[in-house]
Amino acid sequence: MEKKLKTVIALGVGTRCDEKGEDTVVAPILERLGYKLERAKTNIGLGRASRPLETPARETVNA
Amino acid sequence: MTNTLHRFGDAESFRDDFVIFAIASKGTNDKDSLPKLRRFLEIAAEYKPVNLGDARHGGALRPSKSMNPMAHWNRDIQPDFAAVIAGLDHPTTCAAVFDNKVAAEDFVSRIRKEDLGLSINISTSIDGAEQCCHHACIPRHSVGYSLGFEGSVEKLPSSQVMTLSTMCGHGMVSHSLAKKMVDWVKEGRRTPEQAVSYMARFCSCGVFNPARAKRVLAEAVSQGAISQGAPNAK
Repeated sequence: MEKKLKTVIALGVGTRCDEKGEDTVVAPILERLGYKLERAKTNIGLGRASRPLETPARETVNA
Repeated sequence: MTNTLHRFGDAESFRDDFVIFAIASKGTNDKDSLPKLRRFLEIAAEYKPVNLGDARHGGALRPSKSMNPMAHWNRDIQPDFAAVIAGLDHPTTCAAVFDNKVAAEDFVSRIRKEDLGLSINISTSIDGAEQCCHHACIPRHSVGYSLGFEGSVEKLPSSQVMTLSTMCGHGMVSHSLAKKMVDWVKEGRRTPEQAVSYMARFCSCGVFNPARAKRVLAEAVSQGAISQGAPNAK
């Protein structure tokens, strides 16, 4: 598709890593498609909820 | 918004570019996050960053409303990290930019020990971020890859201009300004330090990397390259 565009686009793809911090799913696909992976934003997983996550109110369907 | 993801260059060109973010999530951990974000900036200042900033007020070099043309010759171009820390008055994205891997690794390790509970992201080469995580004994949580630029890339300016302008992902360092700075430095009309300070002041969140920009300008001078023509964008 990008070959038909008359403008310039920047592409990005995000994925979750496994418990060892490895991406064994998306990176191989991208490399197979010919992308050379150079740069990324890496979330190092230090974020933590400081307040209880609100549980969405339950709704009855077709009530 | 991926304001640092699509910086132009190959992995090697990010050897002096490590952007580390801290952000709280609204409704999840934003309560009492202001002192934690300030602590993040205070700790970052200990590791000799090349820029420090928050998304509301900008970086360590900021624009001024009281200027005159003489400012070109006598303006202070030293970054003011203390002003960034003191000026943080609302929870927002905070960023620290380092020009070497050792400082970035040590900072990430320290942030892990501080256990602020904020979300921390590293924007650099994939290997560079992995090494920071390895140094801090943290497995990566998730990764957002940049796949580069596609489409009519022949319309893009030179790689030097792209490298400079994409260091502000909000587009506040225009191609024209970057090109002008490259040309001025090559013509000897400005030093690389002056040209870098001009560009850095336009960056609205403080992620512009003055050290990398200075290197790019120095390389432009040494190569004598013409600042026109399409880069190899992909």
